[in-house]
Amino acid sequence: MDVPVTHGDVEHRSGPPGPPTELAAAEWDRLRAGIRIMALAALRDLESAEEVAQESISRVIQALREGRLRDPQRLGAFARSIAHHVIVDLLRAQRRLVRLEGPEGELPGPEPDSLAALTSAEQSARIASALQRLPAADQEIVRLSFVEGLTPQEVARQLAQPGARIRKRKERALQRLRSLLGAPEGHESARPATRVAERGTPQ
Amino acid sequence: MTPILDCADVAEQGLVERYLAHRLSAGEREEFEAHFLTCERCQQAIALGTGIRTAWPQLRPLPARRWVLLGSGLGLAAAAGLAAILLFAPKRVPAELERLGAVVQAPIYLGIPVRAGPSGPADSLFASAMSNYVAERYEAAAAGLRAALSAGVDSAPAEFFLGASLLMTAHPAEAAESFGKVIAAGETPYLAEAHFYRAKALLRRGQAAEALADLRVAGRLGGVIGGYARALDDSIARASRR
Repeated sequence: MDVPVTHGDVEHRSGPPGPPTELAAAEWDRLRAGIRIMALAALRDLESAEEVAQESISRVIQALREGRLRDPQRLGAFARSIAHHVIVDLLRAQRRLVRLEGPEGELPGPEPDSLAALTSAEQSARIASALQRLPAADQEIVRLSFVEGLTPQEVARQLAQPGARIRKRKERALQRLRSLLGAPEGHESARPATRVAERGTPQ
Repeated sequence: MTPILDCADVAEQGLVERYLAHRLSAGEREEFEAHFLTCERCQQAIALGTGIRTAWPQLRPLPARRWVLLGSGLGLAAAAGLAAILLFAPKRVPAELERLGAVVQAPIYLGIPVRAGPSGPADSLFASAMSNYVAERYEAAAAGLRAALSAGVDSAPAEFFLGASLLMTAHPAEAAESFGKVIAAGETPYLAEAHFYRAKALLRRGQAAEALADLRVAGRLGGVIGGYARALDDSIARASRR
């Protein structure tokens, strides 16, 4: 049976026929989306990130068919390791190409925020508008968390407030943001959905 | 074997936030990436967090109703309108000052040797600390730079990057203290930047007047950092008029 792999709205079959892997299409999509984020963070380029995602998924499929994943709970780490190698290979190839083609022999400089390509200008404007509607105190918690990159404990220290209060306010602020943006529920207030690895054994 | 993360760990440790701000160690990053590859909620949280980071500069400044301006009658506001002293009814630092005090990108370290001649143990400590700094492990960098200073390393660069590390780990008071030591050292290559980043630290503490004083010195020292200082000075002045 072929493994269904989806990209956007288009579903297609990938690779030669082989044994079933028990991963559903949605789970492959999730894995692909995660690899794309990881690659974008490292490569800062959507096209390269997509290339990494495609190649990594192909290698994961092959590895699963060969039974190389011994512990299904470790699917994420397993796929991450494969994607990491693909990213390193691509970086090496890019550097070689740049050295051959570029007069300066250097890669282009990094973008200010490597994952910024995940957000379109329209989404950004909508998020800005939603943020504007949060109370000032909640805006501040969101800013310290996401712009400054502080942990809840660090935010609590910075604002001289109890950690529990900061966590609650942050959770409320993010829920409000998601509600304004029509986005799905976040993970602050709930346990995660069942892990992929817990649902089947992709051997 | 490393334990598998779950979303509760992710929320508790602020992993999404720190991932986006490049504040995770290599090990934490590896664990978190292994988690979010199979976790849709975390992928959505990363997307939302990225959106927040991208959208933030578009936000209008917060209302100034919590700010209390002391006018020139008290002799504290400059005629040019740039030196308003801002006091705030609540003890908390106003969000706009916090925002102006934000440092998204740490001062760049070019890897120039601390001093000419043979290097000693203090220089090794400095080099090791700066490796952490370059890798954005600012907590480790700060600890290493303190050790290097105790061992007698050239103080201006070590104090400067200690201040920068402290600023990046949300310790503005200690950061301001380190930048103060660089300033006290007099003419060094770090003088203008020390004034500029101490101003950032002071803004994070809500000390707008002191920050303005530093920015004016940095502005007079000229160069690229002088231009940044004048722009920030102007932003504070505009904010104070709102």
